[in-house]
Amino acid sequence: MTLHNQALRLTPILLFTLGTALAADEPSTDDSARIEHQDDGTATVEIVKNSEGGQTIIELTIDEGDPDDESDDDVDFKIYRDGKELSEAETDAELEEWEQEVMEKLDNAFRGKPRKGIFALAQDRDGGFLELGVGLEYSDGETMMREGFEGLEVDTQLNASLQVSGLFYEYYSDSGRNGVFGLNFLNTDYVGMDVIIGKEHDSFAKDKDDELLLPIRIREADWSVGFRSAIYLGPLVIQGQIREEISGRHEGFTASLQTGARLQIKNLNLHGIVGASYQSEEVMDYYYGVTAAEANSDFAEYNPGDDLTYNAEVGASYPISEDWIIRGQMNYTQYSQAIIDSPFWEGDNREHLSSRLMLMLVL
Amino acid sequence: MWVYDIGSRQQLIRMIAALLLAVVATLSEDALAQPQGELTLTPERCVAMNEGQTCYQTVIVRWQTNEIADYCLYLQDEPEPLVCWESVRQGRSRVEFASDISLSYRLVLTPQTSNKRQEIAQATLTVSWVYGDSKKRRNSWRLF
Repeated sequence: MTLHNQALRLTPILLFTLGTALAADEPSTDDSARIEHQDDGTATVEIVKNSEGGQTIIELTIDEGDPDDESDDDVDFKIYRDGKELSEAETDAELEEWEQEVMEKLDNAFRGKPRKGIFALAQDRDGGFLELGVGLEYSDGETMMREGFEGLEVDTQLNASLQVSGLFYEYYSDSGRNGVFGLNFLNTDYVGMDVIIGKEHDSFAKDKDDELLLPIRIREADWSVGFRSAIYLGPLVIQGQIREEISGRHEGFTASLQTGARLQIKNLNLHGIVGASYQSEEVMDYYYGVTAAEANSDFAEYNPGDDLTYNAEVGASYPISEDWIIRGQMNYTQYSQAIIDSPFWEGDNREHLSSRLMLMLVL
Repeated sequence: MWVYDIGSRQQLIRMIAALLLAVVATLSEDALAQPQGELTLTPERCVAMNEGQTCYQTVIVRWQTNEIADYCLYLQDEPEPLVCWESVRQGRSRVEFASDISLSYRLVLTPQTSNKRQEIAQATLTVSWVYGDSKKRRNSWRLF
C-alpha cells in the first residue's frame, strides 16, 4: 500500500478521533479505544464511548489489502448503541451530527481569540477590496522632471488590496507608492507586523522622451525588502517601516515613520497624519545625483547626500452607500534641500501641496 | 355529575369537529380584536464607513393601523417610548438613530387601551459598513 493510500485510509480515523475528543464535553474514564490488525489484511478500530444516554461503540474496519481507489468499500463504518447496530441512515445522521458538533467546537475555539506571536497569521483579516475613483485633483507644481503637474485636473484612482492566509498584495495609487507584496505575521489588538517586498522607485531617463537627457544614464527601478509595523492606540496609529534595496541598483535603504489620528463626526470620518521619510545617500546618489561622467552643460555634477522629507495629510471620507464613498484629502510635503538641489528637480518648490476630491466605488 | 354517551364513532367525529370549530372561532375572534398595522422606515439602512463604528441616521418612521387607539413607538427593548400618539390610526415621526448594530422599531398599543403592551408592527433598521472586517487591511499604506 502506498503512503498516499495509507494517508487516505487513516484520515477518517483521525477525523473521527478528533471529532469524538472535541465533541465530548466531559470525557468518561470508561471510554476506550483499540486497534486490531487481522491476518487477512484488515484493521479494526473500536472506540467505546459511555455517556448518560448509554454505551456507544464505533467500529471502523479497514481493508488494507487490494485497495480499490475508486470505491470507499475498503472502509466499513458501524455504530452500535447499547449493543444494537444502527441502520445506514441512522449512522449517516449520527456522523452528520458529530461533524456539526466538531465544526461548532472548532469555530468556538478560534473565534474572538487572537492568535499570539508569529502564529497569528491574521487569517481573521483575510479578504480584499477594489476601489475605483474619479474626481478632481489640484497640485501647486511639478516635482521630478516631467512628473507632476500644476493646476486642476481630472484624476482617476485605482486602489486594491487582497490578503489570503496572511499573504497580501496592496496598491494604493493615492498613496504615491508602488504596490507591495507582503506577509502579515502578527496582528493583535495593538500591534500589526508585516514583511514587505516591492518596487520602491520607478525607472528614470528610460523612455524615448528622455533621450534629450543623454548622456544621463538610465536609473532603473529598484526592489526592496523590509519590515513594516503599526501600533494602534485607540484612534491613534503609529506606523514605521524600513526597507533595504535587493535588486543591486544602489544597495541603499529607506525608512519612514508616520502617525495619525482619526475622528468620527456622525458618519463622516476625519483623519490627520504627520510623518517623515528617509532615503540613504546611496538611494539619493542613484536617483538624484549626477556623476562626473554624466555631467554636461545641462546637468552639473551633483552628490546629494541623504534625504529627510516631511509630510502631512488631512482627509475626510463619507459613505453614500455600502459601495460608494466620497473621499477628500489634502497633502503637504516638505522636501529636503538635497532633493531640491538636484539638477533633475523642476523648480525650487521645496514645499508641495496637493488636494483631491474623489467619488469612489468600493467593491 | 353527567354522563355523555357516545353512541357511535360518527357521533365522536362530529363532537371533535364541533370542538375544533369552537377553538378556531375563538382564536379568530382574538385575532380580529388585535389591531393590524404596518410600520415603515425611510431609509431602511444605515451605512457607516468601517465595521464596528456607530452609524448615525435620521429616520422617518411612518405607521398606520386599522383601529383608532393610543400607540407608542419603541426602539428595540428600550423601556421608554420614543414618541406616543393618542386616539389616532396613523402617525409619522422623525427619529435620530445611533447604533453599531441593527435595531428594530416597534409600534405598541399603550397600556391605557390594553392590559399588556401589544406589539402591532415592527421594522428593522439595518446597520452596514463600506469596509467590513474582511474588506480592509489594518496595516497598510493608507492608515485610515
